[in-house]
Amino acid sequence: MRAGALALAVGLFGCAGPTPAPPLTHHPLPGDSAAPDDPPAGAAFAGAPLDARGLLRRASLDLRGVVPTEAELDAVEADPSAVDGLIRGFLDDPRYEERLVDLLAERFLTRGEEFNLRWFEMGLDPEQDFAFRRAVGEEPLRVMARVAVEGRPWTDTVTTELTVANELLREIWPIEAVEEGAGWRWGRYTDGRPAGGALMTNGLWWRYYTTPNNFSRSRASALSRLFLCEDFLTRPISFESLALLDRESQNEAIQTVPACVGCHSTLDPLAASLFGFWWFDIYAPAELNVYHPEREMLGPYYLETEMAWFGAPMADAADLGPFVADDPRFRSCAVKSLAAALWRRTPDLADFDTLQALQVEFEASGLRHKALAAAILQGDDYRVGALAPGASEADAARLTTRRLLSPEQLASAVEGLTGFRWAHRGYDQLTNDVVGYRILGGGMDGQSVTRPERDPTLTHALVVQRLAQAAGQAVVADELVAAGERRLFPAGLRLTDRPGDAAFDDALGRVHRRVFGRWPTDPEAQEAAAFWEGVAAANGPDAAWASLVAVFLRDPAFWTH
Amino acid sequence: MRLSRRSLLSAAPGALLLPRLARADAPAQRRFLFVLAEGGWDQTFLFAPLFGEPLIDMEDDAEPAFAGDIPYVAHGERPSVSAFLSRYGDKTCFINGFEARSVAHDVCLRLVLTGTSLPAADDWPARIAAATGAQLLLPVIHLGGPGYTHSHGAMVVRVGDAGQLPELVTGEAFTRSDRLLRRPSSAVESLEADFLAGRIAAGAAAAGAGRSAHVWSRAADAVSRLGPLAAAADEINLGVARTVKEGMSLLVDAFAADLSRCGFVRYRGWQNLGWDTHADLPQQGRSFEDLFDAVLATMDRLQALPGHSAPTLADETTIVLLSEMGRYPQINPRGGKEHWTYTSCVLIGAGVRGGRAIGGYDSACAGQRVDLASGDSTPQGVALTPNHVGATLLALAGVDPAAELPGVEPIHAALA
Repeated sequence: MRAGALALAVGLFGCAGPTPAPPLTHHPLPGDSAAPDDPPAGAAFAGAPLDARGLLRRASLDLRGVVPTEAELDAVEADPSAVDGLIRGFLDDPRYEERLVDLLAERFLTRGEEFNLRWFEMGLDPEQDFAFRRAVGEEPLRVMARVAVEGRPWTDTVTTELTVANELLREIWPIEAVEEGAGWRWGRYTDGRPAGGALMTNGLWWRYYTTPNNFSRSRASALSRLFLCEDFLTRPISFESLALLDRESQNEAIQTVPACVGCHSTLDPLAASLFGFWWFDIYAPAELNVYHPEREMLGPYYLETEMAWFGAPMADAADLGPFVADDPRFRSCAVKSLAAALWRRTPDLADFDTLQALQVEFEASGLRHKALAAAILQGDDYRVGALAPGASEADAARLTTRRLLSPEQLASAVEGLTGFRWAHRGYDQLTNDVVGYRILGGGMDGQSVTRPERDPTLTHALVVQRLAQAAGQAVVADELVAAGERRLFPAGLRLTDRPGDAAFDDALGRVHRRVFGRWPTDPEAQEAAAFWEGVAAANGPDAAWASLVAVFLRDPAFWTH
Repeated sequence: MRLSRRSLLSAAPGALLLPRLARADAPAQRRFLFVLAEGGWDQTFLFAPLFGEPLIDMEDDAEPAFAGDIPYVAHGERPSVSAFLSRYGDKTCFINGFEARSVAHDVCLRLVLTGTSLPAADDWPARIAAATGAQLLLPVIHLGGPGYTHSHGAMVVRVGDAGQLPELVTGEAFTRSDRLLRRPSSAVESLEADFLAGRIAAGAAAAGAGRSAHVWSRAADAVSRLGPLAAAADEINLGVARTVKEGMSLLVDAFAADLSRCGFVRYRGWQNLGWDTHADLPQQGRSFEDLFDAVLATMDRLQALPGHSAPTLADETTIVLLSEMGRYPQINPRGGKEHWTYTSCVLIGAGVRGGRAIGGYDSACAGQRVDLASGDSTPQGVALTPNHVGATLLALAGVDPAAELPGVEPIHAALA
């Protein structure tokens, strides 16, 4: 009920347009003259913020997927106020785009494993299976992430005539590159589809397909839910006592029965605009790979209603993107969605003022997504690290003072520290479920599991154990045995060094600091050294370092923030 | 396969804290074996003998039949269905004509398994396990397919579609890498476990309150279960189930070893060809036959195994057969059927008042209203929804439905 009320409240706000809102609770940035001098009115925030070091670590993992560098830790230890400038810089880091794709995937649920077509039906090789699934699901997310990082208005996500595609998508779909270079690049469909950004991507509608007697209604519902945060499915429906056994009966009921009209008077005209993606055979590559402009007219025919956007007539499918972009709910939904992603919880009624304030900042920036992210990152809800004295039980349950890394973050953070990425025959083992460990590690596929796990679980502990052991072996083999580039261990460390040796003690401290963002206490260092000696006595110094790294990576202080 | 239940019991954290004397409450000791027929089964192949109705396309060569008071659709190519109902019809209850309230797979799955389309909800297995089985090593053992958790994620232990869990346990996962990796020796792993436990204990002590404390506490619990999990994996197969029968057998093993309160297996139809028969409708018949062959074998096996609080495991296990939706009553031009919001489920075994079908379908294949107390179809009754099914499952598990689903009554007529 609370979520429904929030949706209503946000919707009403959207309809009324931006209104003066209470100021966002700021942690002022140096030179930020817009930061308010006075705390906001209303109830005091029930949490206490992370210290600068903890905040640096959280933001680095959230925005770049890696732990802070030693230089960044040095900077914040020397001057805690430096953290805000560093966080601003993270938003311009190239890795932010990848993280944004991860965060968007949690909402749009497109990065699944199951589509109606598989690699062999697309003329691909078996080792391209993972790349194929991932590319299809990421296409709409890449459009949105690219718009965000390039500083374009967020409305471009639903109005641009371009898509973002990699080599594989350009091979299997009618997409031409419009910029040079490898990897994910701007491209353009050549099949006559109208402009519409993510709305006009194959990837979106492969995930949200429709069936012959559904007539794109499920797609319209998904569009509303994903882009407007307006969920038709929260409304109770009933077909009770209606003989809806043919299209004519259905359409008549939809247009006359009050219980149906409530949803379908808006749902069906929206569905009518989506028939360029109508497939006569939902398993045929020739049907799924291309847009069908000539089928746009089938929507009004099948649904017996003209195309419209919540009551406003649409001339054709080309109107869809502009209508979405102009809808105030589109903007409020962007705010709510990014807040949820960065707060790691679902916003509720208590967040209403905060969301309003964020929306004002978003609008003032010209709908720049990075500006919205920056505003969220400055807020109490992002920075909370502990409960304030007197916090209620409800606050304790609500405030995300400690957050788990997603499998995607875990994979990139471990790779950043050790250079190890768990790959196997084209699969990234931490980010797939066909042969990998994404869901077991607390992640989601958007189909079987639609929310990241918030709590540590038995299988999470197991996945982290094996990942950590593998990474420990790999980094020792690469850096200490093979004398490769030092990424985790300091240059002065040799396998012959023992506890008590300056090089050993220095290395232990530095590894601890890289992994956890802080130096070990003396007892911690002594216990770690004793553990190292225990393993070394049985299996040698290389195994001891591998085990020490593994145990550090298994410590919740590493995989939470 | 020989099970060493006693050794597993002693290995499971918390199991020792559960004295035998505390096991007197039968509903709270029940096991639930969920089988999800994912894709949408056709009610006219089993549950809805609507022969002669002009709006309904029934299957050729099918005929109406009864197993006790259970009306059903029989077919010569589905002998296992009739055999099962003949042998276990008195322990079986059909719940017919409940309304999923959507016709989209992902939405219906969430609705049928949680009762709501909202994401902040736990599914029935997780709720049952959280209330009555949290102390077990694998409160819900999940063999694949959809699962929804919000507050009770730690209850669910997924095996993975490709048997990822056992390969992680044994270290075989290290061979699933492009790099040459090896599992550390058991001696080293033991040292790692001890050192990690100390660090987690120290971290938990400093974690403060709220979610920080919760996360550290959960982490400590999860790590403490790794050893018992390895012991369990030595005793029973936690690996890949290639068929629904193998999957159900694996879950029975887990019940027999007192590892789990709930088990969940997804059945994707005969030969894994799915239940979503927009074409090839006969696939429904093949899948029902295959499914009931597995259910029959499972019931036979449950009957033969000793229970923990009852003479046989069958006496304390409830099998739940579900599908997220039904099929549109008329055949499409491709020889299949589209989606339909009304569907059925089957409850079998412990706590179930068997030998009857509750609810039904009218001449347009819409669900009929039901008197929850008597189970009779009546216009004065209530329209069944997934929440009624959920409340019934909770009641079977000894969990107060009023607390979990306020305002929703269980289908009392389904309860023994």
